[in-house]
Amino acid sequence: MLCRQTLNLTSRIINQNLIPIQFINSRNIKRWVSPTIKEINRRRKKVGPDPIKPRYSYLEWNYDVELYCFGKRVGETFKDNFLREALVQREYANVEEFRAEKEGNESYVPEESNTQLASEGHKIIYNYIGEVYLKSYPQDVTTAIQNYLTSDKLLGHVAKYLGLTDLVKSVEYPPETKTLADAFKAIVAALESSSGLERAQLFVKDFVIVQMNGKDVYDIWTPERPFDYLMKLLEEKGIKEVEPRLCNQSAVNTILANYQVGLYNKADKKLLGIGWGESVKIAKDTAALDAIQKIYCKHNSN
Amino acid sequence: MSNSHLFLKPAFITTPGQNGVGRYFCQLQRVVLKFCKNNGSSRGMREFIENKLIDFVKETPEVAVYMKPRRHRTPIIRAEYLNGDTQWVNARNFTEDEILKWLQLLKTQSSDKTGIRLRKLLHTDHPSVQGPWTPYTFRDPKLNLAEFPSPELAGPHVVETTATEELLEMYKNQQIEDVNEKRAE
Amino acid sequence: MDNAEYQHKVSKLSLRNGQNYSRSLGQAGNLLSSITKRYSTIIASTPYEIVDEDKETNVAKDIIKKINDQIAQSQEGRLFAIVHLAGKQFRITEGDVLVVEGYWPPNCGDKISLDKVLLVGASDFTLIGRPLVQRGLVNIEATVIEKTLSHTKTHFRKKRRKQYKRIHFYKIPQTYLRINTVKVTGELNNPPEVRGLEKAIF
Repeated sequence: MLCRQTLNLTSRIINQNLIPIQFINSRNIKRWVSPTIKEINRRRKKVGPDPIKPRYSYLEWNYDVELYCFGKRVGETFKDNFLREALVQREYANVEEFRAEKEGNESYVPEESNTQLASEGHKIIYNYIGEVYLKSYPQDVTTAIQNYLTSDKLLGHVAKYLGLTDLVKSVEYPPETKTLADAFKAIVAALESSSGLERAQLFVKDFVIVQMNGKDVYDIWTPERPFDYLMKLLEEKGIKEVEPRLCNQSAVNTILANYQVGLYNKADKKLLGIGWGESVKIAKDTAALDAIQKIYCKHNSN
Repeated sequence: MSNSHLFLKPAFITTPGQNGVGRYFCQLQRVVLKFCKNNGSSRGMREFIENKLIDFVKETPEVAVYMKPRRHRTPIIRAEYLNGDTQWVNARNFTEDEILKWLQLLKTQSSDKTGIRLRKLLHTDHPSVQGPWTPYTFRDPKLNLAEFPSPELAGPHVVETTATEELLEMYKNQQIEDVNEKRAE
Repeated sequence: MDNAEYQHKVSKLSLRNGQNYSRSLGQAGNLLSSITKRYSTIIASTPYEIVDEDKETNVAKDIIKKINDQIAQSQEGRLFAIVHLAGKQFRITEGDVLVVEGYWPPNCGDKISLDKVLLVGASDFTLIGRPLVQRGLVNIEATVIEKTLSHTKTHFRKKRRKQYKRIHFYKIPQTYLRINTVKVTGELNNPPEVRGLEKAIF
């Protein structure tokens, strides 16, 4: 780079005949090279890294092609106007409108923002997740999963790995998590109005619910007091008394103490759940969690 | 022989988009083919664009392909992935077939894999289905009631038979056989 | 119990360590009990055990029935399997990603089923193939999600004092597979029929 610049400079100088040519013929040690590079690097460091250039500011950018490719990538057919609307952030639409007003551009057609679509999409996603999880989990677990899967953080993550970072029209770049999440929700709604609810639900299943892969439901939903929660559950099942037993213990009175507690049904002496912990109380709670999972997990693969 | 791969960036398998759990979707977002219109090193690239690009684009509508002519520069392929990675492939003096092959590779990748060494060839979120071993697994229940210090448990646990015991066993076996033979008679 | 019936029963008893005691069966009435008694009193002797075949088959039947019931009610929970794939064995469960090394024809997006299953396990039972689990009993499906190349590997040969030095760089094609399902279909010893595998060599 530097060589090229110096070459350009020298050739320009030679062409302009400003300096006598014999200067170039001198074959000394080029003592100026190192200090120059050092100085350039110092200045470079002082200025800091370049701001991230948005992808749309590049010369090779065609928004129509990108939208077409997006549809093909996810394997869905969108109506063009819905998809375009879904990718416009509210602030962006406002800012553009103000700018047009300021410039006095009367032919400007204000863009619709995705606020409406996003709220519709949120409903679709939320309801479908509920539908899926209620088949095998009780209401409170389902609600926790619904909230987790429709959180901005998770949907933003999904949107990012669908390539929406470059497609979303937003004021800031790179777009914030909330912007991305809204765009994703809006896309679900756009799909619903283009290809029907069934396709939209399939889309949610393949891109959102899939994020539960490798995650444990009980990491997302944990009762605050597992033992009390278990007792409430067991009462509904007709088990009134539970007998916690200390099954095993090791390294007692040390910092690495470990206890294993099993919860048994007092009536038929059957094991309900077993758990470990560094104190008996913690072990009892983990045993209760285990028992709750055993009650809930009966019909699940997890 | 060479251990240079040890200095590569070690990595595990990651799939942040959980591709393939639901439907499969192509991880390559867009490709930019940069080339010169009259330089010899871009000849293969120009031929590729003339003969094969249309077919490639028809086969893979999910990838946006851009072309960028620029004078007197080496041709390159710039690939952009969904996870934000960009990968450059120097296509200097490549033939059209070579370029097609590289594009096919980029299309099937999910990120820039150069300089990354996989540490494991399997990723699992459930390393144990039947439960990991703990010191409590298969523990003799009689230990629950044992009172320590106990002279029986204090000594070494001998499983092997001693020579005396084996001799005794052989002697007894012999006796059984003698009895059997007598009865048979 | 009359003598004939007793002898019939005794003939079904056999010693597990394979020794043939049949020649003494005629008078074996009190002998067998004495053997068991004697061997049980020796503290650390060879563990002889008398096996009742009827009892054994009943136990086996009972276990198989329990497993079948669990599968029918889909209470088996998460399953794992050991599959043989492209010359290597992998322990897989649902949602795993594994890498197959070397040239392998399947393309990205292809769905394939893995049929060479050596073992299937759940939290309560394990089915061990001899050497393979019954064909069609286990359904394992996978999707090809990525085909790429490994890092550059160096192959360097040198012979000392012989002016011989060769350096060779290479990359191995890798195929990433996502495991979609690991499922037991049908009953043990009575798996659903599978077609299209007549020509496959396992």
